[in-house]
Amino acid sequence: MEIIGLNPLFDLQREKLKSKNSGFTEEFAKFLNWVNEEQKKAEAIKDAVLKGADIPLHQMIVEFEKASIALNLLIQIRNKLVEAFQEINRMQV
Amino acid sequence: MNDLFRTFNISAGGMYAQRIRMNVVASNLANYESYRANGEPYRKLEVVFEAIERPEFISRGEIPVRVAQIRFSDEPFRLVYDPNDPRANAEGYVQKPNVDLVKEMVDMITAIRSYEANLNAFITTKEMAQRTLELWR
Amino acid sequence: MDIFRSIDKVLPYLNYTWKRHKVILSNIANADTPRYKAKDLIMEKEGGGKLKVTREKHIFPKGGESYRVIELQRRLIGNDLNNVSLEEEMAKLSQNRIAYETYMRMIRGSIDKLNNIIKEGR
Repeated sequence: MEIIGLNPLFDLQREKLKSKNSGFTEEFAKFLNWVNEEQKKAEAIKDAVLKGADIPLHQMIVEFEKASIALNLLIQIRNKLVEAFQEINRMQV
Repeated sequence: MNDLFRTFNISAGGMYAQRIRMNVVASNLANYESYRANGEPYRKLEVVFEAIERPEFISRGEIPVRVAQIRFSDEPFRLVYDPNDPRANAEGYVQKPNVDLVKEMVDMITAIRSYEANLNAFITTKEMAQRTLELWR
Repeated sequence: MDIFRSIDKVLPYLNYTWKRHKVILSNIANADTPRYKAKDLIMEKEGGGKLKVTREKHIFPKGGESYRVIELQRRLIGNDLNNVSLEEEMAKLSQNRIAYETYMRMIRGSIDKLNNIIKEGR
């Protein structure tokens, strides 16, 4: 059995933690992007309809509802994050 | 929104065409025994409907109808045997307007039925649009 | 994000039903137009399956979206060569309209469900 120092183990853990953290940030950034894209799609369809484009009514409305749902999701997640943050703040160290 | 308006216009155009047709029938019936100033009998009017089949519209499923022409019919005049009539010709026949009462009545009934069908379709479209808006809160 | 998957599943049907509505309207408007042939909209099966009866004739493929074909129909009636049967068109109108509302309700249901889940009843 080789005697390996603990250092490489720590390094490995640090690497894993780093990737996990950025994993979350990345995921969240992707999510934000997606919400933004949905808003932009709804805005684009609204503009197109105002300009007189050939979009059926139901398609426009479904896009609007999707954007609204995405926004709701974002707001709720933000609320949860704020709650979590406040809870952490309240914790006695 | 244009899509919705064009959809309404299909049915509206249909109603309009049928109404013109009803007007024409009414004229023909009213002039069943009329003569022109030059002595010629009244020539009945006929409507020609035409479907507007443009490729960019057909691919969207829209084929409106329009009244292509309102024209005088060139069917021959009715000949009625009445030697005592001042207008009678050498053989004793009088030329009368080329209006066929039965055909006009059938035309009128068909026009009314088609008009109502288009009206129902229009109302259906309106209700569908309203339901769609209700989707949106 | 596939939280919209249930909605996106129904959307093509909604599009199809709306377009078919317009085709039926056109048939009704042209019920007395000489030489006009009644038209309908049918969905091709995934992968472009065969279309049914030989009497139906294709005229224009594809309204730009997939799975749809506008086709020509049978049965000549009358000597103005118009073959629109008003009764049949009215029946199709009703049936199609109900299909439209059904798809609408499905989407409404999905939207409400999503909103409920997100807001957790708050």
